[in-house]
Amino acid sequence: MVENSTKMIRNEDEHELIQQLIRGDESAFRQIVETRKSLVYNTVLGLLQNPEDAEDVTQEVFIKVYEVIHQFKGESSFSTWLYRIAVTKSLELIRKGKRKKRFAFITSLFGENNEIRHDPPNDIHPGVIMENREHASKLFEAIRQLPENQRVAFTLHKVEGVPYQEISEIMQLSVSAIESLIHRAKTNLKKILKDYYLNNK
Amino acid sequence: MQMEKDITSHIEAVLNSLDGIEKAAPQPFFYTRLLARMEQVNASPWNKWMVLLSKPAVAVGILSFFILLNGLMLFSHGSPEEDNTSVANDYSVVQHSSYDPNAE
Repeated sequence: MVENSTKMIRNEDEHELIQQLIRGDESAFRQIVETRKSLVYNTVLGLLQNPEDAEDVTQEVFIKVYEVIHQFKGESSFSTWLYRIAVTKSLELIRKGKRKKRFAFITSLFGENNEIRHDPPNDIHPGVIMENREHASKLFEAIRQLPENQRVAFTLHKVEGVPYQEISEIMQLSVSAIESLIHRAKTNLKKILKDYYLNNK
Repeated sequence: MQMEKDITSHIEAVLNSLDGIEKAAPQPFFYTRLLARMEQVNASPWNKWMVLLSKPAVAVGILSFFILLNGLMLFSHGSPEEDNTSVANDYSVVQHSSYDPNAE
């Protein structure tokens, strides 16, 4: 599913909604979910590349928001805070997946068939333009091989279109560190893709 | 040379493949599914305990209780050395070091 319109609410209204949610108002929670689900879902989907996992993690993000909203002090914007929870939850699942994959490799050594059962996802972000899908598939495969920090910074910038300043607030690093991370990510991606083409020629 | 050029143009095409990416949206009735999951999570008794224990006030309270209990146990029974001395006195047992010149 692709969403073309983004529902936004004014900062003052959002502040009021947050205060209502802290007081336990369910309609405020519903409004926050409805207006922010696209931001969370797209961030998570960009990192996980699997719509089912993305939906699951998006739910987890909002459950977390509901549980810890009283900890939101307004030091960063609400969207930055949401991005941070979404990135943390996505990385938790990625790490869990890596552990499962390692375990699957060990079990496959002792199992009946010698195949690794926990393969990386083959889905592609549904928002990718049709004629770019094949290339995007290779790019996402390469992104999965990047170190965690580079993967997060590159995905937030390239897929979500988050500006460097906000990425620096989300990742709690300086803007120059983010620039450096994205530059290194691009260099590494070029290297990974070059190796891929040389080995497949 | 031509191959190198082809690879470079392929890589550029791949790196630019996310240009114009559109926003995706979760399946319809997301909020209904979210509420159902929240109810499921809240219904678990284990989760209720975890939520209760994870509250700072409860965690600090339980910790303080155990520290207090520990302190009470220590002070109410006195130190073990005192106990040994009183037992030794009761039974007229005198302990001497092997290097004590006054030892028998």
